[in-house]
Amino acid sequence: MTAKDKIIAAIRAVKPEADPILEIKINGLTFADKRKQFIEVLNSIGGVVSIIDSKQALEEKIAEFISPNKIVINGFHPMESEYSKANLYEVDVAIIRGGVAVAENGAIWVTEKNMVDRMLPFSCEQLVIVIEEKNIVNNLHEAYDLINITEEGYGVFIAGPSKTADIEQSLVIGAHGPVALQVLITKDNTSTE
Amino acid sequence: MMQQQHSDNAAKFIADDARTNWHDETLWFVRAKRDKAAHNLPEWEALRQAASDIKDHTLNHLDTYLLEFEEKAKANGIIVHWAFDADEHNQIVYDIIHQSGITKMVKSKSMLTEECKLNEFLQHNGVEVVDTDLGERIVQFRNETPSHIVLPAIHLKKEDVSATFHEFLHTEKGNNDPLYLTRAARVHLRNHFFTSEVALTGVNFAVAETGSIVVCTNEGNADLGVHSARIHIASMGIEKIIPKANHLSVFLRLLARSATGQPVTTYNSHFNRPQPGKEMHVVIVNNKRTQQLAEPDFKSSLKCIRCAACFNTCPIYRKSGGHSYHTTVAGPIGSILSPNLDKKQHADLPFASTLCGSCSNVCPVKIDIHNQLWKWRQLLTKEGYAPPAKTLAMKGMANVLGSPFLYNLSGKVGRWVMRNIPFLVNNKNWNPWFKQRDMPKAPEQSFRDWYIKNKKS
Repeated sequence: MTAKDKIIAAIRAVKPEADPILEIKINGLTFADKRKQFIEVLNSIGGVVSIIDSKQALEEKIAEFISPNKIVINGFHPMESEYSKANLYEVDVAIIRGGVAVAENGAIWVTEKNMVDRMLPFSCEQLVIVIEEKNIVNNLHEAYDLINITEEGYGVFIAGPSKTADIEQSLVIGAHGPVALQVLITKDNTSTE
Repeated sequence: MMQQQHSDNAAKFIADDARTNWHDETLWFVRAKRDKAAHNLPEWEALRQAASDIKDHTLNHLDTYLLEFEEKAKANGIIVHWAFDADEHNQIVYDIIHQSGITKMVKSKSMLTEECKLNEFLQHNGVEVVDTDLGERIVQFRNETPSHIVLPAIHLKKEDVSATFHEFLHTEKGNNDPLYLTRAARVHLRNHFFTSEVALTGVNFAVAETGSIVVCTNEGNADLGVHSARIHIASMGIEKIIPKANHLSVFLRLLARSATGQPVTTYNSHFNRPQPGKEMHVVIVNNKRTQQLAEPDFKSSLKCIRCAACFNTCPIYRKSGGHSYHTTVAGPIGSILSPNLDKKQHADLPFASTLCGSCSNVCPVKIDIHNQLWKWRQLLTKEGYAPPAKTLAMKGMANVLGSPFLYNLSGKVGRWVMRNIPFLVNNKNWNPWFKQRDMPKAPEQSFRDWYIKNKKS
């Protein structure tokens, strides 16, 4: 017998005959002002937020991050070349697009196609995620109703910059991943395409 | 016969008053943060019930969901392995690494691999293992085990970490600044992420309907390791399965709030398919979980999502420290999981509790932990594994309580001794009760004598 056969047989040997049908219905917390809530929570977990009113304002804001003595990957522009692992570890600023954002916990859904490389949101020093205001939902239940987790090979909810409190419970922002997270919220009438 | 290990270890831990109090207060602070996070959600109890229902349902259909997960994961290009016990798990992991000619592995937090003693096995076979969670790296340097499943180095002070980092990372001697020390670890670990071709992670949730695994960290260490490496190995216990992707919303809302009071963990990574040109393996491990599944009294302990809320609230854990439990998973949940792995070795643990029930009250998946502690005590005593002193004391007590004559006599003798030769009971060497407590003042008469006298008058 293989390990698999042994495990399945052991489970079936004690399997109950009847089991009530599983029904899950949660009325998740909602907010009068989802954007305000999202910003409050994100600030409380170490993230910084800017509101962007127009397409031009977005271009200007992104330009602020670009500097000759910094390595910046701007996911909004087509990539000129593929990045090596070594390159990705030296990125100062990564600017990427986020999907659904969650007001209750400050998390943003980011998928592989918007990351340039799966490594980038983790290896960069500073992460900038651009989201659309209309994609802010109340809670995680609403978020999972909107996303299909297997649409791409990899997806992640990111809530704030990396952090640890493993030394005497002292919170340190910036563990192994980004030391800062800035979220740019574009107004609904701002096309970011 | 087994020793009363937990109480012996705890006696050593509490010898340092200041440190014991610091440990107690720090964990209580984490518990208070959990309370605040829970109270902010009006639907908290509904969430706990939903999580409990999903896990109960899954345990009742574990075969179906494991097979569904395997099928979907394979279709996604993931290589799925099954391990009946710890040895099989370790061998599978070693074979994957060895066949690739790799000699170093980075590993994010995985209590299962601690349970299987994977690090020792790999190191014995020439593979260097670098634990990448900051707390785990600290205890790894010190050749210790994690004392808490979420906060592995909570038994240490920053001075200890500073001394360890000075020795291993050549940080400034005496620089105890947590920011400075964390940054030093960042540089050290990023170098290991960059240079390791294989990364092992645990699994917080495995989704049957999609064949995905979800890994939660705050530090980003699981992702840095996996995305840098060519080979990703994920080790999971059979109980990590959940049926549907949208069930993740229930568990992710509960997990971090219960663990640290955060609204959600920083990184909640959904691994569905390996990157082109890379490998992803999932090792599904039993290691006696089906044995626990077959015990109606203890089956629901497999619902645990490893948040450690029961640790932080437990007066015994807070005042005795994780290492007193001499097991991978300490605290109340560890005390009902560990005896299943080895009754003799862990027979003392269900007794390391006041049965106050606080663990069950905070458990996000509603495991009746305190009931199971009590049931383990009965089972272990019946099967002869209980600490001998306890068994003897219980037998003596049963004799006294079962005989009105002996009960009256022992009461009279006790009161007389406490009044006339108090040093016999006010003595730490002879009376363990006196160790941390004062003896009460002995009354002149028993309640029964008082009642008889006053009823007559």
